[in-house]
Amino acid sequence: MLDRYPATLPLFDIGWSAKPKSNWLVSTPERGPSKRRLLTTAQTSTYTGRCVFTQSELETFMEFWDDFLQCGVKSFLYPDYITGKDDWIEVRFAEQYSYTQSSDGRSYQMTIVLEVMP
Amino acid sequence: MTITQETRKAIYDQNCSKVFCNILKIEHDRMGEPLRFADNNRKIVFGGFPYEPRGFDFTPPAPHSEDAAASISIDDVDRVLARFFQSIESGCAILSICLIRADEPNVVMDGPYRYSVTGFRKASASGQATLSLSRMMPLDANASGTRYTATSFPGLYG
Repeated sequence: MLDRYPATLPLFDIGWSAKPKSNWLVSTPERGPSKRRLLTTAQTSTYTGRCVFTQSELETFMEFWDDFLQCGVKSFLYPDYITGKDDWIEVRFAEQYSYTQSSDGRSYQMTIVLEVMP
Repeated sequence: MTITQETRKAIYDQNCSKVFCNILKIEHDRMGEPLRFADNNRKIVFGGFPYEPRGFDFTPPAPHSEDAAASISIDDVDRVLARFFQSIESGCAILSICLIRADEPNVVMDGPYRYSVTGFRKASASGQATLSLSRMMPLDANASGTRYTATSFPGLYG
């Protein structure tokens, strides 16, 4: 049973982008156009999103990262931005998160990159 | 082994949406259930059994060679599985591999080919393990190019 992303945390509220990962196998002959076929049955995508956390939200996120995701290695459920936020998809962190503190020191802009599991 | 008309077309097509996939089964007396892996990123059901997604690269014996040696590199081999492979006696685990089309998994395009596992090596950093294999010849192996050599039939030569 996978953990869900904490409901108290904001989602990608200041923008996100998605990029599918290539699952093509391309072979290039000496002459003529290349041949292309599918390597796997499922195509995965990467979501990159940004959101703003308060201090307490940042602490909630850190707890989720450390205790439930084991420093980000485990997968979890996240709302699906493509089909609607009521659907949940299995994702995991594609890379380490990063954040910057605002100039007034009261909030943090977080960048999260998620890999959608096949 | 069946190459259907649809498969033949998929093989020669310039752009092909069919996925050709190797599936792998490893059996040993000490295993309750065989290990079943599909070289895909989704589970494949073949012969009524689920084959879990796991990347692997299979290197078959060189064509027209008397040497029956092959190898397979499997991704993400955990410590338990690695210990098991280290502990088994050479030749006691049997590996079967065959090629299927993912959208029609019960039609075998090539194989199954059976190999005995003769060695094991694990790269600890990447989690990838390589099994050395020796092709198991059928008893009536008298096809051209197949001879009873020390490599292909070690039991005959001690």
